[in-house]
This record gives sequence, structure tokens and C-alpha cells, in this order.
Amino acid sequence: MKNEELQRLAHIYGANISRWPAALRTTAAEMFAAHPDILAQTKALDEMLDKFKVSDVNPALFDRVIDRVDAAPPPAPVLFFFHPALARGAMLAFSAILGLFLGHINFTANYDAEDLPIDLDHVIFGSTTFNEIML
Amino acid sequence: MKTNESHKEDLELMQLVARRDIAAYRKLIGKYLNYSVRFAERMVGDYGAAEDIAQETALKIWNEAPRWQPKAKFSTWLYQILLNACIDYKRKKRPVSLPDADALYDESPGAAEMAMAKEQAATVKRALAKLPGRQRAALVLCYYEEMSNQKAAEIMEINIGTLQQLLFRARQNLKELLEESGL
Repeated sequence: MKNEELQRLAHIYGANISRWPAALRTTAAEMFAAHPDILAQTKALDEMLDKFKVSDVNPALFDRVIDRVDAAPPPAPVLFFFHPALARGAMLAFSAILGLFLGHINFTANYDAEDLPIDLDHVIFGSTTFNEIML
Repeated sequence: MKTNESHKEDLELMQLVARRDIAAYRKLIGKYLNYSVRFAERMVGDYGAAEDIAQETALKIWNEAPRWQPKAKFSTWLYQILLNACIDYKRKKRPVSLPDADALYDESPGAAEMAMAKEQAATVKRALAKLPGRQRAALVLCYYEEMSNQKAAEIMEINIGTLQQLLFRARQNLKELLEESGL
């Protein structure tokens, strides 16, 4: 490990070797011993960070949270179609029923040419483009 | 808090909370409320705001429990909620109430040392508050909460390489900010 690498890792993990990844601890300890200046700088920053002491948590906060939950109206029950697993099942069942229903519809009804409301011969053979190309 | 038994217990408690078991909820909140306040205070730099954030997070746990899917550990989910709440709070740019330097001074014996310690603590707090949100979050999770890089990266939803870059920049920036402040 080079000095630059030690400095970089010291910025990531700090001066406390026990916070370093296990695989790097021995090397880091050796490098810190060889470069006390880097260790001192890192320690100084850790000590600064340690000066930020958090406040004691107010014990009444716990009761306030529980009181609010007690006072809250019961949440709406989770409707089955909002539950991800059930919603997927419902969609699958709906698709299957829709498929069966569509499968029973007769889409192949026969029509006589005379029953059609438009004259297909006129549409096809009477068009200018058809005549220009084919005739 | 870090053991597998703890995670298993959290899971069992959440399943009970989902069935509106108030005793299980009390146990779960009792376990995590103090952590939540401390984490939020370090993130937003204000105890009052930290209490509000922790309280709202606790209520969210109660409300979301019936829909909660154990895709990740409960503690990871909790810290994600807290982190988002802290980022939202900081985004609103509410002023951080830090002690006034004049108010730190006192004439009583030993007061000078105490005042200096308080002033240094306030300077560190101010420097932390000046860090970009992601750098501050990385530092709070890894240094103060003593989480592994892997867990912190999971909470922040980033990869470990990015987390390490954030940690590196956070400490570098913090060092510069403290030097500028004369510490």
C-alpha cells in the first residue's frame, strides 16, 4: 500500500483500525506505524467529529408517539386488489375469463356480396389508379 | 441491533404490528426511537426537528405496516425513511438553531474550558451542516452510526464505490471547513 492509498483509505475509514475492513487492518496498522503524520491527521479529524455530541432523548417522546397511534383512526383495510400478490392473481383470472368469453363469440359470420352496403367492384376496378396501372 | 436474531425479532414484530398489535409496536418503537432521534439530529443539526422527524417516521411505520413487504431488513427500511425525511427537511432550508457564541460564555470556574468545548462542538455541527446532503449522510451512517459500507450503501441506494467517494469527499471537505473556522 502506498502513502496516497493509505491517505485515501484513512479518509474513508478513519483512524480507528477496528472500523477498517478485516482484510486491510494489518497492512493499515503497519502503514500507520510507518507514517505517524497520516495517523495524527486522521485522528485529529476523528476527534473533531467526536465533539458533536447528540442531545439526550426526551423520554416523553415515546409516550407521545404511542398516544398519537392510540388516537389515530384505524387505517382503511388493505383492499384485496391493492395487495400486490392478490392483484396479480386477480388480473390473471380476469384475463382467463376474458379469453374464454372472447373464444365463444362467433367472429366468422358469412356475408353475401349483395348484402354489403358498398359496391366493392366499383371501389376496386372503378378507381382511377387501378385503371391507370392495370389497363 | 446488528445480529440476525435482532433482524428476525424485527420481522416478527412487524408482522404483529401489521395486525395492529400495539404491544409489538411499543416494543419495536422502544428499540429504535432513540437511534432515530440521534441519527436525525446529526443529519439536520437540530434536536427539535430531529424529534419531529423521528415521531413522523414512527407513525409511518404504524401506518405502512399492513402493506410492508420484507424485501430488506426492517432497520434498512427505517433508516431509508429517516434519511428521506431528513433530506426533505434540509431541502426546506429551515434555519439550524445553533447556540449563540455569546451565550456560551460564563464567569463561573471551569466555565472557559466548557465554553470552548461547546464552541468547538457548535463549529463541528455547523461544518457538518454545510456538507452536501449525500456526503453528510454517508459520514453519519458510517462514522456515527458505525455501519458497514455495505449497509450504508444499501440504505442510500448507491454502490459501495460511490459511498467510498462520498466518505472521502465528506472528510476532506469537513477538514477544510474546520480549518477555515480555525479548528
